[in-house]
Amino acid sequence: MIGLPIEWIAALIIVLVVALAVFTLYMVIERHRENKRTLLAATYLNNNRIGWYDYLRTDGVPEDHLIPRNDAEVKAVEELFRMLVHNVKEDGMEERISGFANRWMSGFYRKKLNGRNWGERMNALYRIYDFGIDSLTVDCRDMAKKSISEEEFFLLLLIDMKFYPETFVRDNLLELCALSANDAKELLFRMQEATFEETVCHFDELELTIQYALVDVIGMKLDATYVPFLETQFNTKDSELRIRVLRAYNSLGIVPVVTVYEAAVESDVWQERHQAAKMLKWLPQQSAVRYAAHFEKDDMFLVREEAKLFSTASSIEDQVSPLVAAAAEDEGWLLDTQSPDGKGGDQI
Amino acid sequence: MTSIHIAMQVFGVIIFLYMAAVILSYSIMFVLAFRTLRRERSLDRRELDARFVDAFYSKPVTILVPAYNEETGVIATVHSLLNLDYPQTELLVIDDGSKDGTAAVVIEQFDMVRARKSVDPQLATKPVKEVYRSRIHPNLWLIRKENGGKGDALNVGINFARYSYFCTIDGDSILDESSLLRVMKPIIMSDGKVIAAGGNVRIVNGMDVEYGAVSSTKLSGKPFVVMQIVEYLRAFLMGRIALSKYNLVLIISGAFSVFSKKPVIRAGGYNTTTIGEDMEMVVKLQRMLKEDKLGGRIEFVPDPVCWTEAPQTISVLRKQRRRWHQGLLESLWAHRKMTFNPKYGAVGMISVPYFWLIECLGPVIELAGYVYVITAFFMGGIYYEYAVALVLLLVLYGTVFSMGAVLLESWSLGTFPKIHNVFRMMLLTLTEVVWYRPLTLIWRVEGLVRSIFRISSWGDMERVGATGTKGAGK
Repeated sequence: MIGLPIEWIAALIIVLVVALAVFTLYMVIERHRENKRTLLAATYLNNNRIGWYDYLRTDGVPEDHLIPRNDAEVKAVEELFRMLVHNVKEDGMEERISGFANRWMSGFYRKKLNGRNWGERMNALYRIYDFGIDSLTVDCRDMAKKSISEEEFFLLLLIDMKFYPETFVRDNLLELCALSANDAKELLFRMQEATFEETVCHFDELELTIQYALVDVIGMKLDATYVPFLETQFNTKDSELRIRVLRAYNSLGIVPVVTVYEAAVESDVWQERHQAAKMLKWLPQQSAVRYAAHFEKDDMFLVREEAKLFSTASSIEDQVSPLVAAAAEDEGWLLDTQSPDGKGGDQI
Repeated sequence: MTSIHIAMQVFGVIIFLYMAAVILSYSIMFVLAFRTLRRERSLDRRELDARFVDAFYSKPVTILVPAYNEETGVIATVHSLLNLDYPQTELLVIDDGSKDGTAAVVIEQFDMVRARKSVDPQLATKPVKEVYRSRIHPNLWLIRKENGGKGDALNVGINFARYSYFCTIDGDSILDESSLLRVMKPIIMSDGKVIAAGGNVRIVNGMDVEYGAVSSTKLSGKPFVVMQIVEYLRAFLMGRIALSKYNLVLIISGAFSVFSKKPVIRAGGYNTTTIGEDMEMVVKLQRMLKEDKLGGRIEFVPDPVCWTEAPQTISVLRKQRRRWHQGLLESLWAHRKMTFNPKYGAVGMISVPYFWLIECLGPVIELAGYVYVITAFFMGGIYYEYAVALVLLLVLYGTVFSMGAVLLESWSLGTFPKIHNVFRMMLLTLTEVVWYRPLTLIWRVEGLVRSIFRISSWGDMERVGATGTKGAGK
């Protein structure tokens, strides 16, 4: 024997093969159970079609046989509710879904919330939000105190916002700062008007990334009531915030007051000039032509591009550049891209 | 003791230790992959898809499809990309001077006319000949250029790309509807800290494809293709998930990946002279992130799936594997200063050495192991023990991990819903060490040799149109 642990390797292989065999068996059984659950769910929905129609569309009184008695039936009801919540808007429907889910499904979701599986906890949070299961809000608040993932944190904030809109800003203003910009945008966009207004009032207490998100959301909401707020924010020295403010103006389709626009036109930051150039289409014709001529001499390709697009926008389709004088059929219009000059920007 | 005996013993111990180290690395990666997949297994992904399908929360993406002689598969690819569940995309097919009718079929199928498009030529490329735009789908463009290789075609696409993010798709690949949404998720969620993300690539041979979508998943009847399926599962599920967890990814497949345009341009775009431009780009980005202290991440996302056509003959597979290995060595050599260099953090200390020792030089040692086993059996005596130990390690490495990967996929993602397909794959992995593994090792070593002697040829892959079997418009 030269000391090679052959027996050990052989034993390891046997152990691993046995483990794989057990895992295979588990998987086969799991698949069988999953198929059975799918069949049970389909049968449940098929048998209770009329009952559900009556409950959701007419009387609002659930018959006994609608009450789910096992996981498969809960999954079936969940699918039905999910489909309705995402696709149907009807008076009273949400209340009936919420009423049923609160009464008959909250126990199932409470168990999932306290489970160890992250995916199932996430699914439960989605359902609590979608189906309006307010009887679980205390459980959700308890969950927020534990160590949770970013995704769970975001959903818990959404749930809190949905069920406690009056106290949401007071309770969660600092929590907002822990969100990513994207999550913050989504949360702010989904806010009820009063909650959003309250958040705007606390603008200075928010972190920069959330401030940016809030200004973006003003543009996304297409709500012109915040124009004076935007005007105030443009006085900041933070150029990123100024760019976002100008972008919000652009989304709203509103030209800012002359002082703001002039400041953007003369800005050292090309992104501000770019946003100003994008606003040309909202300006009175005479001013627009004057500013377009100014932008056409800009150092930055994108600013020049915007100005030129404005100049010929009406005659050529969107996105197709109007800037090359040569006709499309003329072979001479081709641009040799082998030698970029660093300035960038041309069309073919 | 003769020098032959000493050499045999030393060599035996080296191979044995090497194999043990490889098995240990793979075991760690397997456990990490298992934990990640277990965490996300029960998640209802439709909810996340629904969040990001809203244009407010997603980011527009330019999809680049470099195509060289892809006449058979390109229409299905474009159909699949037009069907994507994504709010805002621009689709650029870049015909890299194809000799077949690639451009003609695209122009005809999508009713294209000559058009002009803005270009910001920040990357040097071969000249562009013509630009076409579809009258049916205004966001679909065809750019015809002089042949310059895939990297050059992608650079042209980047110059023409309108949006800040671009997605690269091979001309013979098709995407699942929600794939782009899912691969963009880490980028959107990270507020731009993730600068590149790659999806999972699967083999489409044997599946039913209708109008650019996989309509039913079937396992190919050819053992050769099934072995490649298993190989892809092992590489993508086990290797990349684990590396991605710690930002150690050095390769995301060029067949399906998304990049932020800014860092790619900053890194100089795709290398047009290397064979493996996809790996080269990722290594270059990782290097730039560390050198410029930018702090970004590159991630692999397991659930978005891109289907691609696999070689069906030995000669084509041989060329492919040879090329891949040449590409691997070229990228590693070009960035050799990163190896064991603490300046590059975990990438330099773990990832690059892993790719050198296990992915690049591994085939040489493993193949030597096969030769050693045969020699040792002939020599008899104490060498039987070495031979038996090595055979066992090869079985452990080649078969057990492959079976594990098949099970892991089946349990977490379940691409093949019929259990007999899973069993067929598992049974076939039992034979891997005696035919498929040695063959691929020989080809990879061949790639190494060719790379050292600077022999380079692309070796066109003969397409059978596996991505366009039905309704591809041909």
